[in-house]
Amino acid sequence: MENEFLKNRLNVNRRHFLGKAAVGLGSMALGSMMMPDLFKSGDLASSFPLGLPHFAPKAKRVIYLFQNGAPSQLESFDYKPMLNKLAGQDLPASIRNGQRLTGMTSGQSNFPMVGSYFKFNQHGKSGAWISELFPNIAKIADDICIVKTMNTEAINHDPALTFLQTGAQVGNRPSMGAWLSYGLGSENQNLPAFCVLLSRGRGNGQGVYSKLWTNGFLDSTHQGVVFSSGEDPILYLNNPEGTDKTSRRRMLDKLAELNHLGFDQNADPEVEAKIKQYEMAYRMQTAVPELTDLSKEPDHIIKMYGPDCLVPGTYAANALLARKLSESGVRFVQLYHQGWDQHGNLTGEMPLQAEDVDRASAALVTDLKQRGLLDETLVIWGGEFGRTNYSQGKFGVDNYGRDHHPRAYSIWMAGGGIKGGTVYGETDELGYNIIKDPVHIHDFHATVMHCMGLNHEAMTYKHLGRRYRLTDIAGNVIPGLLA
Amino acid sequence: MKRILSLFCLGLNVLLLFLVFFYEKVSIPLWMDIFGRVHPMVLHIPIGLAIGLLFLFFLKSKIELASFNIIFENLLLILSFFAVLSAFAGLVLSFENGYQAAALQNHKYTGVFLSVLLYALYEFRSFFFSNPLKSKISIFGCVGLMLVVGHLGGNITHGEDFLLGAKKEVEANTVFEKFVNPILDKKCKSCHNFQKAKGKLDMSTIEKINIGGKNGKLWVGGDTLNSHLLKRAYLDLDDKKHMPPKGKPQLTETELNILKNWIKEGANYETKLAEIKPNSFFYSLKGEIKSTNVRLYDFSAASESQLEKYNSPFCTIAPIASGSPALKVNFFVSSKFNPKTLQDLSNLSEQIVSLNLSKMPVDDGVFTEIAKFENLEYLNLNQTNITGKGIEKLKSCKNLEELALSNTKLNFAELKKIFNMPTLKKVFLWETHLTAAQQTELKKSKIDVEFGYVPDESEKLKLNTPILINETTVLEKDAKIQFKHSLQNVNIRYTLDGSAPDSANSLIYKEPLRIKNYGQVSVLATKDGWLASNVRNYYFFKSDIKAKSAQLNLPADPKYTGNGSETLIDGKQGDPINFKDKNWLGFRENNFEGEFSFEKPTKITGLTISYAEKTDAYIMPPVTVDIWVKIGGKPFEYFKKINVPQLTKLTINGTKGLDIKIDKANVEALKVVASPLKKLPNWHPGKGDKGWLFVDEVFFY
Repeated sequence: MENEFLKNRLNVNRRHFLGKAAVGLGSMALGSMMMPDLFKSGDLASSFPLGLPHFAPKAKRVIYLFQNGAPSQLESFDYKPMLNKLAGQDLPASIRNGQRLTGMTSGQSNFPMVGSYFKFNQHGKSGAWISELFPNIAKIADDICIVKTMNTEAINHDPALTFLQTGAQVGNRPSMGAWLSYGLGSENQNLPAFCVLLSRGRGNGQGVYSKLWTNGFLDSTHQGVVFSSGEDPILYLNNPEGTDKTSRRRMLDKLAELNHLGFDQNADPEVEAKIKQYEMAYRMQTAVPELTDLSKEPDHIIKMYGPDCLVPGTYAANALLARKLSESGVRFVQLYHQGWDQHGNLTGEMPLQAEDVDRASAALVTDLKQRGLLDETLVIWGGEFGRTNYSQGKFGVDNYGRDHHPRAYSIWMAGGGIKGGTVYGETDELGYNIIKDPVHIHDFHATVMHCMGLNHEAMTYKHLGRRYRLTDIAGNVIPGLLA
Repeated sequence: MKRILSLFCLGLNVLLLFLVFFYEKVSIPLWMDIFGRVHPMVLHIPIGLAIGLLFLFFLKSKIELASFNIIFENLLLILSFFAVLSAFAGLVLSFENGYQAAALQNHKYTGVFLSVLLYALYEFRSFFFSNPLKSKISIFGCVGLMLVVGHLGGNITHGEDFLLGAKKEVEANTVFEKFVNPILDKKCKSCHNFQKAKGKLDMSTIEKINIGGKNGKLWVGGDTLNSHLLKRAYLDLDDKKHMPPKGKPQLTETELNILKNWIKEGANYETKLAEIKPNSFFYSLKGEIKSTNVRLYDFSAASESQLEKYNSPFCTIAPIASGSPALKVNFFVSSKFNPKTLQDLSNLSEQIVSLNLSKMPVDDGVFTEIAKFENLEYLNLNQTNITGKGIEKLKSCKNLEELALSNTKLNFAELKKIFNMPTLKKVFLWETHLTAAQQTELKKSKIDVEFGYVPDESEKLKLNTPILINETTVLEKDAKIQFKHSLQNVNIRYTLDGSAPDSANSLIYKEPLRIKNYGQVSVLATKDGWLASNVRNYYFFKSDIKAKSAQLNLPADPKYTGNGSETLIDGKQGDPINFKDKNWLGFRENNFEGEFSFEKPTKITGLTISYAEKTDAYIMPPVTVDIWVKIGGKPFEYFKKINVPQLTKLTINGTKGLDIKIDKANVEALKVVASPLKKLPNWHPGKGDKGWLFVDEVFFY
C-alpha cells in the first residue's frame, strides 16, 4: 500500500498541478458569475451610454437668448395693475417678509411701490399679458410659454448668472451648454457643439465672463466657443498666405503625430482634446463660410429680423447667426445681450433694450417655425433674476428704477417639448411673491434637460470623489411646461 | 472516470470555499434554487457512505490488500464527491431562506469543512493513511464530524415542499411589477415570505405587503420620510435594524433610488408602464417602457460597424435615443455632399426615421433615393434644388409625418400629389412662391401647412442708424470720419453744428468728413419705403499738440485711479460702459485738478476735456471748469472760468467733450480744475447725493 501511495505522490507533477489549478480557477469564475452586482457600480449614470439621449427627445438643440442684467418682469410679462393703483405707497413688511436687500437699496428708508409706466395688452389664444415694449414677441404669443414664477437664490448679478448657467453660485462648474455637449455630443462635427454670441445694448450693462461658458471639470472640447462680434465671426480661420489646403493638412497630420507621442508619454486627456480641436478647426474652414452665406435666402429675412441683423455684433445679427448655427446642428447657442440692469432711468433705457431684442427674438422663433425646426429647437428668453416692485432711489411715476429681485421673475420658452401658448405660474397682486407653481433654477435645468431627452439625475460626472450634476442635488421636471 | 470525479470534487470544493468567502456579495440565480432543494435528499448519501467506509475499515483484515486498496480508494472518492455535492446544495439553499442565523452558520461552516476535509483525505491519502494510527484518526474523525454536521443540519427546520414552491414569472406591466417587485424578490423575500415571515412580514403578495409586519405598514405613498422600509434601508449598515441585514446582499444605489421614487410618486401598485408621466423618475429608466407617446419600433437595430461605415463629419447617423433601433441622419456642409453616401444609406433603409438634407445640392432625383426609407417620419429638404417632380414617390414612406420644403422652387401641381398621404401631418412651405389661391387651397386639407413669414409691404420699419467705420473717436492728424450703412441705397444725412439732422434738408454724406478739432457729428439714415433711423451723435476728439507730462494735484477716488496721471495724455479713451476700465479717472470728493506741461512754449488754440455721462450711475458732467496758464517762466496765472450747462433729465450713457478756447502763445503749462456735482438735482433718483466726475483724457490743439 505504501508503494502505491508513494507512486501517487510522484504522479503529482506540474501538469497535474496546472490542470487542477485550471479547474479551481474555473470554479471561482463560476462563483463570481453569481454575484449580480459584480460589474455594476450601483450608479444610475452608468446605465446610459454617453453621447445619446436617455429617451427619445423632443428638442435636439437649444438657443438661449440670455437677457443679461435682468430685465424687469413688471414691464414685460408680469402685469400688475395693482402696483399702479398703490404707486408711491411703502411696500408692506409682511410682503417683503425678510427678503434681503442689495447694497444698493439697503440704505433706503422706504420702498415706494411703482407700477409699469408701459401699457399692457392681452395677446394670443391664452390671453397672455405682454407689455407694449414687445410688440413682436406679442405676435408669437401662441408659440411661447411664459413662465412667471422663476425664482433663484442669488441676489447679485455674478452669482445669479453663474447659478443659472452652471447650477451653482460659485464658479468652476460646467455650463449648461458644456453639460449638453458632454451628454449628447455634437450633431455637426464641423462646428463647435457650444457657441457663444455677445452683444451690448444701450442700457446699464453688466459684465459677462468666460466662466459662464466654461467646461468646468469636463473635457475642454465642451467649452463654449465665443464668436467675434466683428465682420468675421470666427477669427484666424483662413490659412495664412502661402499655405494651401494640402500643406495645412500635412502640418496638422504631423502635429497630431507629435501630440500622440506626447499623449503616450503623459496620458494627459487635454492633449487628445487639443488634437480634436485642431481637426475641428480644419473642418470649420469649409463649414463656416457656407454658414454665414446669406445669398441663398430671400431679402425679406432682413426685414424679418430688422435691419440691424446686417450689422455684426448686434443682437439681431446674433439672433440670425444663432438660427444658422442651430440649423447646422450646433447643440447649444448661447446669446448674451447686455444692458438690462435698470437701477435708474428704467423708463428711458428699457425701451431701447426692448427695441434691440424684440423684433429679432420673435423673428428667430418664426424663422425656426417656418423651416420645420421649432419642434426640435428649444428657445429660451430671459435674465438671471427679476426686479423689485418698488423704486430704487427717488420715486416718480414716469421716472424710476428697480433693484434686484430673486423671488419671482418671468422668462419665456418656445419650441421643442414646450407647451406653446401658455402662461405658467402666478405671482401675488404686488408681483413680489409666488403664489402658485414656482419654478426654481434647478427645476428649470431639469426641465430643459428633459426636453433634450436626458434624465437630469442620471447625467453625472465624477470629479474630486463626488458625482456632480447640473441640477446638483435638487430639481424636478415641471410637467406643466411640457407639451 | 476516477480522474474526472476527482477533478469535479476539487472544482466544487473551490467553488464552495469561494461562495463561503464571498457569501455577502453573492446572490443565487433563480434557476439554481433547484440545486439547493436537493440538499435534503443528497445529504443522506454521504452519511451512508461514511458508515460504509467505517464498516469496510473494520473488515480490512478479512480482505486481500490489493482489493481493499481499490475499494477503499474509490469509496473515499465517491464519499468525497457526495459530500461536496451535498455541501454545495446546502450552501445554495442557505441563500434562499431566512433560517435562524446562528444555527445556519454552524451547519454551514462545519459542512463546508467536512467536505473540504474529505477531499483532502482522498487527495492526500498517501499521507493520511500511511500508518494504522493516522488511518484510524482520519476515519473516526470524519465520521464523527459527519454526525455533528448532520445533527446541526437537523436542528434547522426546513419545509417540505421546496421543489413545488417554485416562483412563477408574471408579465410585468405595472411600475410595481417591472421595477419594484424584482428588487423585493432579490433582496427581501428570502426572509419575508409565507414560510419565513421574519418580523411577521410576508411580502409574497401585494395584499400581504399592504398588511405589513409587526412594525406596521411598509410604506406610506408619497411620504418617503415616514416609510418604514426606507427608514430601515437607510439605517447604518452596522445598525441592528438595518435591512437587508448585514451579511446579506445589500440594496444598490439604483435599487434604493427606485424604491424611494416609487414611494415618492405615491406607491401606487396600479400605475401601468404605459401611464408613466414624463416627470416621473421611471420615465427614462432603461427598459422597454410601453408609453403611448413614444413610438416603439419593431425593426432590428443596425450593427455598429454599419453605422461607423457610413458616419462621417458630413453625414452623421445616430440612434434617436439610447437603446432605440431608429436612426436619424443629418447631412452637413453642402460642398462636401457626396450622392454616393445617400445611396449607401439604402442599406439602413429600415432604420432611418429622420433625414435632414437641407441646403444639400440635391434635385428631384433625390426622391427615388428617399422613397427607399420605408419608416421615414421626418424629412427636411429646405433650400435644395428640388421642384417636386417625382415627389409622389414619397408615398412609399408609410410613416412620413413632417415634410419641410421651405425656400425651394416647388411646383404646385407636383406638390398636390402628396397631399392625400394619410400619415402626413405637417408640411413647411415658407418661401415656395405659391400664390394666395394655391395657399388657400392647401389650407383646406387636413394637413397643417406652414407658410411662415410673409413681409407686409405696408409695414414700414425704422432703419438702423449709420455705422461709424472708424475704430475710435480719437482722430489722428489727417484722419477722416467715415460712415456706412448695412443696407443698399441708404442716404446718410448729417449735421456738424450739434443740431438734429432731418431727413429732407440736412447734408447727405457722400465722402469722408474732416473736422478741425473737437466736434460733434449727428447722423441719421433714410431710405424709400423705410422710416428714418434714430439720430445718433458722435463726438470726435483730435489732438495736434501732445503734452509732455501730466500731474494730478488731488488724487482720484481710490476705486478709480486708472493708470495714474498718465491716463490723461495717453491718447486712449475709457470704455463708456465699464468704469473699472483703467482709462478712466473718477472723482467725487476731490476736484479734478490736472497740470499739463509742454516740451517748449507752445501756441495753444484750445483744449478738450473728454468726460463720461451716465446719469443713472450718478456720473454727471462737471459743474465748472477753471483754467490757469503759465507763460514766460512766471507762476500759473488764472485765465478763465467756464460754467458747464447742466443736464435736466436722465440720459443714456456716452463719452462727451468739453471744448475750451485758449488762444494763447508761448504756453509752458496749463492747469485745469473741474468740479464734480455736489448735489444731484431734484429730478434725479439720487437727489441730494454727490455726483461723480469721470475724465479719461485732455486733448490740446
